[in-house]
Amino acid sequence: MLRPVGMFVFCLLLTPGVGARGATATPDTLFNKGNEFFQAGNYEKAIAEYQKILSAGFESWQVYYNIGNAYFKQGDIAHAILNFERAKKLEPENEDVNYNLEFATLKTVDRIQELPRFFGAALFDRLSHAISMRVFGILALSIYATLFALLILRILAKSVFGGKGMKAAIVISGICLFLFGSLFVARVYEAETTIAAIVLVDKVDIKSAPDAAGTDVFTLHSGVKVRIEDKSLDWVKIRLADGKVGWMHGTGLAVI
Amino acid sequence: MNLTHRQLVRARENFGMLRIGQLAVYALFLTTVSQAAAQDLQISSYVNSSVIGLNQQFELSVELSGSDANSAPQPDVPNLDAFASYVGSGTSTSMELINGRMSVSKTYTHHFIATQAGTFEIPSVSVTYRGKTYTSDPIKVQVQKGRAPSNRRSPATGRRRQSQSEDLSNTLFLKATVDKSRVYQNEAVTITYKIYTAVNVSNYGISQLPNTVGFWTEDFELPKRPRLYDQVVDGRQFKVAEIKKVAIFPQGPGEKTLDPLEIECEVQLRRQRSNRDIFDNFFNDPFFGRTVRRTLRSNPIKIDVLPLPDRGKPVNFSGAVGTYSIAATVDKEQVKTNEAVALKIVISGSGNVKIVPEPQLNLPADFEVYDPKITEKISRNGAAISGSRTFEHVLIPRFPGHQTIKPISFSYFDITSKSYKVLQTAPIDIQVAKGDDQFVSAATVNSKEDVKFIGQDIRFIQMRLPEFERRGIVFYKRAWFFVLLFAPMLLSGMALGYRRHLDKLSGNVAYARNRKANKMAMQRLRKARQFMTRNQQQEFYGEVSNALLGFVGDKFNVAAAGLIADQVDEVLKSSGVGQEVRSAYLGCLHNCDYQRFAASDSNNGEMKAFYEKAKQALITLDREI
Repeated sequence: MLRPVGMFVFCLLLTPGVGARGATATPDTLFNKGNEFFQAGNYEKAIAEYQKILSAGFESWQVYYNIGNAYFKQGDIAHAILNFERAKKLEPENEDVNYNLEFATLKTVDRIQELPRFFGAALFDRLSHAISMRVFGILALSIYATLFALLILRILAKSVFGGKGMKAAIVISGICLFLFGSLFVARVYEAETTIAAIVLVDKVDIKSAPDAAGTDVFTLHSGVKVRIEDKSLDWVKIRLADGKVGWMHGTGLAVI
Repeated sequence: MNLTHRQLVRARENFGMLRIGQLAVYALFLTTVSQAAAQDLQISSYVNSSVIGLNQQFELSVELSGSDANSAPQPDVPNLDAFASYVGSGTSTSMELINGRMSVSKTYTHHFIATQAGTFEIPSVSVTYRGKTYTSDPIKVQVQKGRAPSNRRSPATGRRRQSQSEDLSNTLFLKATVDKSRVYQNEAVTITYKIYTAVNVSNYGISQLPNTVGFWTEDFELPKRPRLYDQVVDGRQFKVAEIKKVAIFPQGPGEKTLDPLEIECEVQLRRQRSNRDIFDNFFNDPFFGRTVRRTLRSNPIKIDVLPLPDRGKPVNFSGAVGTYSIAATVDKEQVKTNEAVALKIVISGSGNVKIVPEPQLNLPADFEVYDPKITEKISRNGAAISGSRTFEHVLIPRFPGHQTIKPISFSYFDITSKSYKVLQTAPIDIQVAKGDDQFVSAATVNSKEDVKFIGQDIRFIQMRLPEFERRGIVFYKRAWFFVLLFAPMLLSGMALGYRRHLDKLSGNVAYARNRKANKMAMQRLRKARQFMTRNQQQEFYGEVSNALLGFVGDKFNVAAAGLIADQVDEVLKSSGVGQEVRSAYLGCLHNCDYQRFAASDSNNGEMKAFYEKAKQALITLDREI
């Protein structure tokens, strides 16, 4: 009676992407075709092939990473950064992604110094970005399921699982659930509340108000990462990593 | 007449005004002067006025100067019988120290009276000394009827106006000379401004500098006391002083004109002989003399500037013209990482040192380099402006290893060979050892990161087939996520219900009683305690008995109603409870029965003691089971 339920839960946990694969082989062939174009130096066509995967409704960090590389080779640093950022969003701690993103960022005009942060907040941020959100979710859910599985075992077969070892296992998994759960919730909260974007136009004057006649506060160049905080018609309120705030026309931006 | 020049050359710099005390004390009107060839003896002759009134007295002075002037014989008095008669002679000697050299001059003054009108020539005067003959130039004089006009002034004109109108252009002027008038762009041209004077200049100051648009200028350092020397110009002896020397570097090709330099000076004129005016007499006191202001302008200067040739122009040429040399040194060749090394590049030579550009460094990427400290040293004393420009870079090696600073090159247009030259320093080797501190200052992090990527490219694309995922809705908003979120709760709820169901089905009362045993016993004890406080003895013992019996009944699932002490003992014994615990427990039970049915009243203290005892027995038993 117990086993089938547990098996069912674990099967679901361990194979999260099972639905994506196998439906059609198209993404694989498109990906290989894109790589061939890239290696032949035909970056424009490579990008087109990769984009087809996305428009077919599939994605992976590798696709964004390769698109970013192709844009970089074409000299379009802003689009390269945009796609590296998208790859990073799916795979935050990948070395190649971070290297290329940093490399591309060095080619941009603006140097934005990140504001120093409280040590604890920075550590929490690092931890919550240590792995991708999906993996976080799966981990948190697995621990959650494990905790309940243990509880159910204890309820149903106390004579077997009523011992102290069981009790310790439940407490430990409870602590783990708290840790991973809070990191995961923080990530979900962040993903739901913050929208990051990349400036794509060569140069844009940032205004003090959502109005073309507003005073220029500062100037940004292509490739800068900004946070979108507000919207007013076609205008968006942006915030830089160094804390500067202003308004710009939304057409010059692409959301990561 | 005293012709001693007391050249008290007291020069003092005062707000840009050079003050010369008594420059060139010569007679108002000089005539010809001749300089003998020998260094140690010179002879010159001059008259106090070249225009002489008929029957007027005039002076002819013969001056011997030089270190041998004292020992030379007296020259003969020239024969002027043709137009003048000799009156008498006088001698005066003066010694002066100029720049540490003793100079002697001896002057013989002969007085004559002009007797004939017309133009005459005073013959040259000669003297023979140590077998060598020194001769002065002849002098032309004009004898007019009436008084000599230059000495007179009309009584109507004021002193001031008189002085303003005084023509000094032949006795005082400013001259500018250049060392060359055809130069290359940025080549140095030396301009020397000299005052020529035959009058007494007491004071002067530069009132207007030439407009130097299109030129770099560099002033030479001149001695604070301008050196004076004699020079004869158009038959007149002048005292000459160099007052300004400047090097100019034309910035662009073409014909360039440098505006004149303007100076203002105070001239001391000798007193005027006038007996008409009391005031004049007073102001023209021989002790004061008269002071006149004069503005002097030099001649403008024309320079033809040639453009630098295009042929053979090095790539990194940036305009330096002259003759240069370059040297590069480091303060230490063995350093540790993160330790500063000072790289010093010195470019020195003659030319416009100030425009020497910063040499391009070709440093290994592992070096962090800071903007150089630039110092210039310019020497303005020599024949040409020269100097050096020093660039001091601070380098910080970030990684250990053997590093080489590649040769630093500098190119310039060489004036002497009229061609471009490229200089190169020797390469410098630096051995970098690993330092003990890994500290990197916050300010340098950025440049360090920039450096890290020099000569690198982005990483290659991912070739392995990835696991594709569905785009669109994020996973935590998908149905399966919520299923997984709520399924465990649901399942555990179901499990709980199922457990209850099972319990009911199996009718496992023993389990239920066992679970409740402690609870029930405690409840009964509490009740007993209430009886105790109310001092209801029978009820108290009854309740304690119930608690003790009930606990055993519940724990071992036997009916408490029919339970007697012997049975309890048997049950406990069978489940392995120790003798001591059992007897204590049974003792309590017996005591209960005894007290319940005994007529004697036990006091409250006794009840309390028994209560504690019974409780203890219960706890001990619970532990034992």
